[in-house]
Amino acid sequence: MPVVNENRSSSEMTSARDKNNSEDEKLANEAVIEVENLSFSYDLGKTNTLRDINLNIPKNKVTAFIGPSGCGKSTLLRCFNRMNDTIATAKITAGSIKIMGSDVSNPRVDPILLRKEIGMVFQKSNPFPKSVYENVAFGLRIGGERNKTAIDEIVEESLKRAALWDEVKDRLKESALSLSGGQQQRLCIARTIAVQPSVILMDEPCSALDPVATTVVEELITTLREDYTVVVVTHNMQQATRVSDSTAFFYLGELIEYDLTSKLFTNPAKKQTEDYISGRFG
Amino acid sequence: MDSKFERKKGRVSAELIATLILRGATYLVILSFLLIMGRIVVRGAPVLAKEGISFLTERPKILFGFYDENEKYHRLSSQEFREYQKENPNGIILSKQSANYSGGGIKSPLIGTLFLVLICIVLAMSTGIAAAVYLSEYSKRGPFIKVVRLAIINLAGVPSIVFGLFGLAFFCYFFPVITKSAPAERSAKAWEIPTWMYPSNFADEGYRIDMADTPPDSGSRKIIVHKADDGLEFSVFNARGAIVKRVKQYEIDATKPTWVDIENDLATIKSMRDSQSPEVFYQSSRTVEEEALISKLRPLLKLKRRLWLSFQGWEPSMIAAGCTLACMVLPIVITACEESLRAVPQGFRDAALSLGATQWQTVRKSVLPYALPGMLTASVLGILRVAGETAPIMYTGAFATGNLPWVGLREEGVWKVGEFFQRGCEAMPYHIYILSAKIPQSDLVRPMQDGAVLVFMLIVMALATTSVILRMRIRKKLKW
Ligand SMILES: Nc1ncnc2c1ncn2[C@@H]1O[C@H](COP(=O)(O)OP(=O)(O)O)[C@@H](O)[C@H]1O
Ligand SMILES: [Mg+2]
Repeated sequence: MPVVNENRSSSEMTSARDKNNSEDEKLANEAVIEVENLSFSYDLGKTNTLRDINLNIPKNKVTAFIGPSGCGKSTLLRCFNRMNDTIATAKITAGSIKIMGSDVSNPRVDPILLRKEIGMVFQKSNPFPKSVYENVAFGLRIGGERNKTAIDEIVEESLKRAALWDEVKDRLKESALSLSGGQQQRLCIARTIAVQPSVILMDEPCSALDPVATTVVEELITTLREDYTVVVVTHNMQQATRVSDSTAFFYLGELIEYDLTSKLFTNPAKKQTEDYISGRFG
Repeated sequence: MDSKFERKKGRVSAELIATLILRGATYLVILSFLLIMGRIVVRGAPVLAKEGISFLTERPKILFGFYDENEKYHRLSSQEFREYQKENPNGIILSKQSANYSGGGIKSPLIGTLFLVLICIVLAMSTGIAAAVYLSEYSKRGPFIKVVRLAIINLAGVPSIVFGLFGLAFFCYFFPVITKSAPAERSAKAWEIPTWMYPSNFADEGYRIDMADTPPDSGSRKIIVHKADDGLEFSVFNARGAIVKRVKQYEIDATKPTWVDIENDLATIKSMRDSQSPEVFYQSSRTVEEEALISKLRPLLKLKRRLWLSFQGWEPSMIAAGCTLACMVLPIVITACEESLRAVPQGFRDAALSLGATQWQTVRKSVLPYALPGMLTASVLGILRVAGETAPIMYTGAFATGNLPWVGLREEGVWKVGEFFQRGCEAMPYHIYILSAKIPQSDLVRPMQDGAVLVFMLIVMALATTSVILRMRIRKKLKW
């Protein structure tokens, strides 16, 4: 497998992770998302795409989902912010997901409010064909924010937080489509941050980026953990080791192993995990 | 040559025949295009050259053709004919012919077609866009949606004459309308709209005319006419018996009403009223005379009319024809709009939803703006084709009126917009049909036919070309 990252950021991240490890030995430490016996189906229960998933996602940590393509990583991610609602026949068939203590599959939960709390960044960067500024302001505007100075402030703050401000501060009025691929993806992250969520879900955020842009986004992800809980789906195991504190390995709709990243990659408990991370399949 | 790649004889000739047949078919298309176009241009162009701009700016007129004493042939409009007669009082007029619509120009059919297309665009686009948005953004797949889609596909295949007859039955004679005059006899069902639903609580519903020689006292829903020294005085009482208006004859513009009429009506009503007991009078509904008088007093006393909801349709009219055309193009519009919606990347919807937008916000802010240009051009392109349709409008709103649709609509300084749409109008395809099939054929009418057909062709082609160019432009501009 190609090594895409330079040593510099890699070693930096490793040390950051080591420090965190000593602080919390247990994964369940203040879980933001609690998944219990979850089964999920795209066809009203005929076949379960996800089966009996149990995991807790800790606060202010980066959690990586890895596994071969089609194993259900995106599906689980989209359960968290109920993006699967858009599919008529999609259904949680068993178990529950609790986010910050409340069950999100409860019909009384408003997915609109939920999604403001749980932002999402997509695999294919999808800025609107509007100006850079309007892209970041989108979430605020639909949330009813009218105050120009407030929006200005949050736009600047979000772009800074997404490590994009210096590159775009002079071209806020330009179309977002004129940015490079990596900048577009960071713009999408800024757009998500602007809504001030507490969790950010990222579905293979770097898979369409070149190595240099990937490095920048990866660095960004590691800094995001200070303020947000991040869940990142990746099919790139080096990336998981670089950015995440804990890693969940999925295979054919099941959660095979979930542990601290350092432990899972160096000393996997399951044979399947070992086969996967050593590149024997997937 | 004895190479193994040598050409075999039989294959070559088969190839040649196939090519010839295919090429011949292609040339046939071009040939028929040239024949049709050539004929229209060759015959129409001289007419346009001769008539000039007046062909477009004059209404159709009657045309006279005759020989004078020198055996010179004249083609004159009625006005020119009158002038000719004045100038040559003793001139001999031989074998005089006249033909309707053969003189003047095609202004009124052009304008009629314009209005029909505009009405059709507004109706078809608003309904079509709404339906397309629902189908592609809101509806979940299911048996009902399947039926809807089947209906749309089938609607597209219905012959246009069937749409014409449907429009006649539905929009002209059944569609529910709110009318100010009593429902027509054909009305399938009519309800009087209760007064409380009116914009203001003052309506003349149930008002009766009453006369008093003494100054008016009270009474409910009455217009009491009182003869005073300085003329008539009208007192209007509402349902609770409170006086809402008291108007003296001299306060009303003296030039407006024909007071003699009104006094005659009053006398008739009074005599009828005297022959009935008051109970009978107030139990029966308003008599014809009373209705007539009230309609005269209505503008003077500024009374509100009664309103009915009646299933009687609009009669053949512009709005009925426009609705019929809209029904006809609806499948085209919905399909075009859905296509434009599908072209908007799913990512835009996902992004908006993930940022906490509602479904409607998503549609309005991050789907519709990007689909709209494509929707507009694609559906306008489809809609413009109805400009050439005759069958759907010939029963539902196209008339050979010779008049512009707004003539006589201004009454007492007020434009009656509602009535405008309830009028019939002329239309280009119908006009051509009239010219070529409904009036006696002679050399008088031929130039008009040729000119009208050429202008019509040019317009339809220009519209089609513009929308194609527009669509290509927008396609190029909107890339993501
Ligand atoms: N919208 C959908 N409708 C039906 N099946 C789906 C849909 N999206 C994904 N799937 C199926 O669910 C399984 C898991 O998909 P996904 O979660 O996208 O995998 P991953 O992200 O791990 O590659 C796959 O077998 C895929 O075919
Ligand atoms: Mg995926």
